[in-house]
Amino acid sequence: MADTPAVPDSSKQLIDTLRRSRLFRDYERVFSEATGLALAIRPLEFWQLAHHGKKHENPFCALLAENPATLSVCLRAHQDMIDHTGVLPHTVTCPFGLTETAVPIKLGEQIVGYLRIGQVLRHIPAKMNTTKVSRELQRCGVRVYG
Amino acid sequence: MKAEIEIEPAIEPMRTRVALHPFLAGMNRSQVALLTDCAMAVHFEKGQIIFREGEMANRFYLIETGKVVLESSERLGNPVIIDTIGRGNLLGWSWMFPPYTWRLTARAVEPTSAIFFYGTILREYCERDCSLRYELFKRMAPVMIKRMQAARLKMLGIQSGVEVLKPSPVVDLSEYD
Repeated sequence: MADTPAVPDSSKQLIDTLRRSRLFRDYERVFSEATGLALAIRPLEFWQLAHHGKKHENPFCALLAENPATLSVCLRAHQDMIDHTGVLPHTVTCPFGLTETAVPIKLGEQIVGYLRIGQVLRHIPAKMNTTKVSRELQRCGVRVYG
Repeated sequence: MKAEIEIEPAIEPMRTRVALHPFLAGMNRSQVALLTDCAMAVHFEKGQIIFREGEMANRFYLIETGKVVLESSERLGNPVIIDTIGRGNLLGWSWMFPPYTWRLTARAVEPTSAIFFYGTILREYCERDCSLRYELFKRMAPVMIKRMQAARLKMLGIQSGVEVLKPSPVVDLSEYD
């Protein structure tokens, strides 16, 4: 019953090799130490939070990842970002107010994966923002106190 | 599969719809591939019966848009609405446990789009892949508890006479027969 073919395994293998390379691991470490942000390299189809389990993961995002309903909201926003990322980087703000950026990685003319940076709250949240987030959480069936 | 199920053209790849559905979010790549292998987009019109109590349970649905009610048997009189299921929710878990028959009747009360999963194939995949079985159980258990609690509250209401048994909204089902 499956429709279009999945992303070729060769792209995924290439990204996995890049992700494990010394060059990328050094870059990731220096970037994260300098900025306090998590950095990840991900294949075209990746249906988890890009930074889940990383040292610099945003704890709020880590909590959202625990619940499939809230995780789905994050993943949907990230999928929209990927769908709109052409040859240039693209940034989105998720319904919980955090921004995520994808930078395309190309092999020749073909995009094979993305550098992902994000889980950033770019400003101090106002009351209006927290109310919106509470509403979104409640819509996902999460009980919000306070 | 029944003739009443209308197949809907896919808007985005099925594996993306499966991977991002609120019920399944967080599944890994191989689990998504197995689920997608037995998934299909379907649409139900308002009033359409999706499955009937007592019939063989060989499938389940993940609702994408619309609303479905779960009703108890008409044998005791008018059907009693046990629960209402909307966007992002699971419809049907009897396919997972013997005797594989539906415990309730499901009826669309709004035009409803859903992802259909062929349960018989998925049961085989679950036998072979423990992690898939675990992930499905983990997600289904709270739904089962919620449905059983909803049924219990209805029964308590009926017993105490607090619950007024209202007949379900009248819908002409003849066009779906």
